[in-house]
This record gives sequence, C-alpha cells and structure tokens, in this order.
Amino acid sequence: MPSEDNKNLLADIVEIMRLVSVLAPPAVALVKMLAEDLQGRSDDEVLTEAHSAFERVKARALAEKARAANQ
Amino acid sequence: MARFKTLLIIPALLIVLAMTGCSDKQIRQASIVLRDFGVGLEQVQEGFVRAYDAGYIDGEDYKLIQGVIYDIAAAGSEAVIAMQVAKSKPSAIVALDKALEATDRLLNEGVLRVKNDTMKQALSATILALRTTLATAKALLQ
Repeated sequence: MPSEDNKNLLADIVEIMRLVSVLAPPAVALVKMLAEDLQGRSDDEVLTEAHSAFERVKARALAEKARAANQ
Repeated sequence: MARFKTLLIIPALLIVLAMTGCSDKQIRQASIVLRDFGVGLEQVQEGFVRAYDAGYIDGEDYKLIQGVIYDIAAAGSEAVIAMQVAKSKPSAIVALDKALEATDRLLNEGVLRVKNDTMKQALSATILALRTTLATAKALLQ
C-alpha cells in the first residue's frame, strides 16, 4: 500500500512530465525555426517579431490576472 | 527527467544561435537576442500558467507573478521601440535595465511562491538563462 507521501510524489512527477511534454516540443521547434529563419531577415523584421512576442506576453499576463481574480 | 534537461538548455541554445547565426553588426545581434528573449519569456509565462493550473501557486501570488511578467514584457517593448523607432541606443539600454530589474524580481519574489521544488528549480534555471540573454542584448548595445 503506497503511503500518502508516495502518492503525492507520484502525482507531482506525473504533473511535471505533463508540463514538460507541453513545453519541450514547442521549445525544440522554436530552436529549429530560429536556426532556419535567421538568414535574410532585416533588423526591422526581427524587431517587429520581438515586439509582437512582448505584446502577446502583456496581453496574456492581463488575461491571467483576470482569470485568477475570478477564481 | 531527461526531457526536463532539454527544457533547461533551450535558452542557452537560443543565445548560441543568436550570437553565431547572424551578421557581425552589433545592433542586428542585439535585435535577434531581444527577439529570442521575447519568445523565451512566452515559454516562462507558459510555465507559470501550468504551475498555477496544477495548484502549485496561490491566486494572489499568481496575480503578482503575472504582474511582474507584464513589467518585463513592457520594458522589452520599450527597448524595441527605442531601437526600431527612436534609433536610440541609450533609451534601449535604460529599457533593458528595467527589464533586468523586473526579471530579478521574478527570480527573487515570483519563483519562491511556487510550491513544488522541481518546478521551482526548472523555472529558476530558465529565468536565469533568460536573464543572461537580456544582459547580452544590453552588452551588445554598449
């Protein structure tokens, strides 16, 4: 019979592996994408991409704060 | 756990790519590093969202963490506008300093609120790597 601690540990490991399975494939895809698209991009295009990423983070941060406030 | 290590080396790979895969112009390198920082910040934000959904962060703490992430992104946007529109390196450096300060806050205050040691360590390592990316962008502009 597994102890309560062991059950919690197992649940933690399962959750962490689920997290990694979500995060790692996009991260690996991102590295491949960056390697492929560095050629032929203007500074302006690169900065526009950076700006878009920061704006997406800002929008999601506001949405997540609102979600937490409503829970 | 081996796949977890993969997650941790991503920011390091991003830095290497940024530094080796572009022209020798420092402004271009800084632009690419900044873009990589922005995309990496999205990954960190996703990590905190998952940690919250898994119950590892309390609601009030999560709002604080997302507020700090917002500050980092806002400073990043400011740096981009300084480089792209104002063409001002000093203004970009001031904005990057703000982003560094907010990133330190995320490390010193945000990560500590995650109630799972493994996840806490993974997020710390990823944010530290992102901080290095940011410091690289600043050094390239100086």
